[in-house]
Amino acid sequence: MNSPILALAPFTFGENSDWLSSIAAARSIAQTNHSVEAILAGSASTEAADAAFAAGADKVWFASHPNLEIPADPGQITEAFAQTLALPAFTGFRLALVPLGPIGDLIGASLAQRLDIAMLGFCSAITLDDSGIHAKRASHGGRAGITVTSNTASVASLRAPKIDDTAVRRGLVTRITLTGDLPAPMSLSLQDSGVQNASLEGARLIVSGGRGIGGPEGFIQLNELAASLGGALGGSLPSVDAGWVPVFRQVGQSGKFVTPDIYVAVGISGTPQHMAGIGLHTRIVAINKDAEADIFRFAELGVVADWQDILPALIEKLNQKGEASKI
Amino acid sequence: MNIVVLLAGIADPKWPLPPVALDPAAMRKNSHLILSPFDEAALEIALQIRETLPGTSLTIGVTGGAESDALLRKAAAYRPNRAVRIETHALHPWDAREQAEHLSALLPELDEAADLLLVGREFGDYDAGALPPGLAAALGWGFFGLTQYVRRDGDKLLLLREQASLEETHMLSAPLVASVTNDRRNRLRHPLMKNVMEAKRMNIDVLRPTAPQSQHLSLDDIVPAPPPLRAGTGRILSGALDAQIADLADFLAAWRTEL
Repeated sequence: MNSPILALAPFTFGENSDWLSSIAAARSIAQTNHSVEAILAGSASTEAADAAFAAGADKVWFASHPNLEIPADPGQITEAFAQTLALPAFTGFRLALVPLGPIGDLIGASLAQRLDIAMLGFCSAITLDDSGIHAKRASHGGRAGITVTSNTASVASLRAPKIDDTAVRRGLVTRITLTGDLPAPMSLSLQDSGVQNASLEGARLIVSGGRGIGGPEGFIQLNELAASLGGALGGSLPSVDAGWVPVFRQVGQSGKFVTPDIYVAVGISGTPQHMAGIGLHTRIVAINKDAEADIFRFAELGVVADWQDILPALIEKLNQKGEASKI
Repeated sequence: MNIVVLLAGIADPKWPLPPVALDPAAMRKNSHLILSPFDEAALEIALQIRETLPGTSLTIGVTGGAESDALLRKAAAYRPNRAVRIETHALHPWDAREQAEHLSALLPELDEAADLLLVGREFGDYDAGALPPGLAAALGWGFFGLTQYVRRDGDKLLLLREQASLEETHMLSAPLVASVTNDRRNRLRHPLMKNVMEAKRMNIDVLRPTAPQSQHLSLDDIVPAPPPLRAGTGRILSGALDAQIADLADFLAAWRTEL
């Protein structure tokens, strides 16, 4: 058997990290040649272990430390992973995957420096063979693609397929207690910003606006549409640049990668940089007044019209349907 | 406070990408380079801090070869204490770990008292996004990612970012690496014309990092982005607008999720 693919899963970040994505991604490249071992930083939890197995783990390790703080701190979690990977059980590992997103990027980049291993970045495909680890990823703002090869232990993030949460899997759970020094957590104060809308992570439906919305007022209606559908609000880079939607809702090459069932793109032209942030299996609904907009090439359903002529009536109709379904 | 801002620039997305090449220097020379929105945001945050905290020193480093001189002059028009080009052609932009190691080693030459390093969130690593936290790890400094804006609170400086329904605030404790993302509060201001003219005449100071002794990652191939795999079934609604809206509502209602 080849060395296992390791999935580093910082599960104590909860919804701030799509922690299962590293396990699902590891499963997608392990096939039958490698096993998937998930390392969960934190105290053992049956619920977390079950989720890790369902996402594709063959074996789960819980790496706890008495001084790991809650809420989780990226520096401490990175150190916990570094101490774990230095244990004899992981000697000679070839590839460790981190979750998609800023927390995964931080953990991966820090581990690469700390352990002097290669950082492959956010990859679209990874293969392992005797000549090395080969990774494909986008570059130049999504306008080019590169292939890099590593001949040493490596860390990466990888787009994960959807997790089949009906799958029933079980495996061995091992607990490790770490004792090395941990850094002091970074001091952060948290304040509720008052923004009430579902998170993009894990959303099954996203309503997203682009430059064509023309101003912040339109995003109030997009937010209403998202709320009436039980979905999340997103935006393209130009709409974030314009200050109409916060940056943590940005979808695209330099924003978040999302995999909802439905992506409603309103006033979005469909540039490659934006489309790079949407999963290939997502169905796209487009509303745009420009019939030549590229977004219609990708859309399952399209309406060629000004959003201002569509959204108010659409929201009203959906609300009527919602009320009717409750009767 | 002693701030160093590192800027890399990007190939202008409004211009065609030059022919792809395995040699990053050749490709960069043929690109129409501009500061990225994240580069600009990092520079603006530095300028805001300099205004807020008297006595702040600002050093700007622009990576690349001579083709980066125009970017350097643009940045120098904001009158930093020092503006330097960092000759990075011996480094490999696809290898964030290697770049972090060599750029961090150069920091004392930029400003030996540097205690805040600001970079755009996708600074200089072929979009991997790993270089800013890698720099923090290589320096052994703290890291605050995705900074959106800064605010002064008494004699303290606060860095802020929004995450879902939470606003996260870090009271700046140096030394720190902060990556900066685009936000309406950090759009780069325009420089004064007299400073632009002065920057056009300035002599350019160049620093060179040590060349890497070994390479963890090799670049095997670079290709233009392939056309998208996704192709919609392309049903465009037609007919009266009311009927289109009704069809759309029917389609979307089937996917409604209860929160």
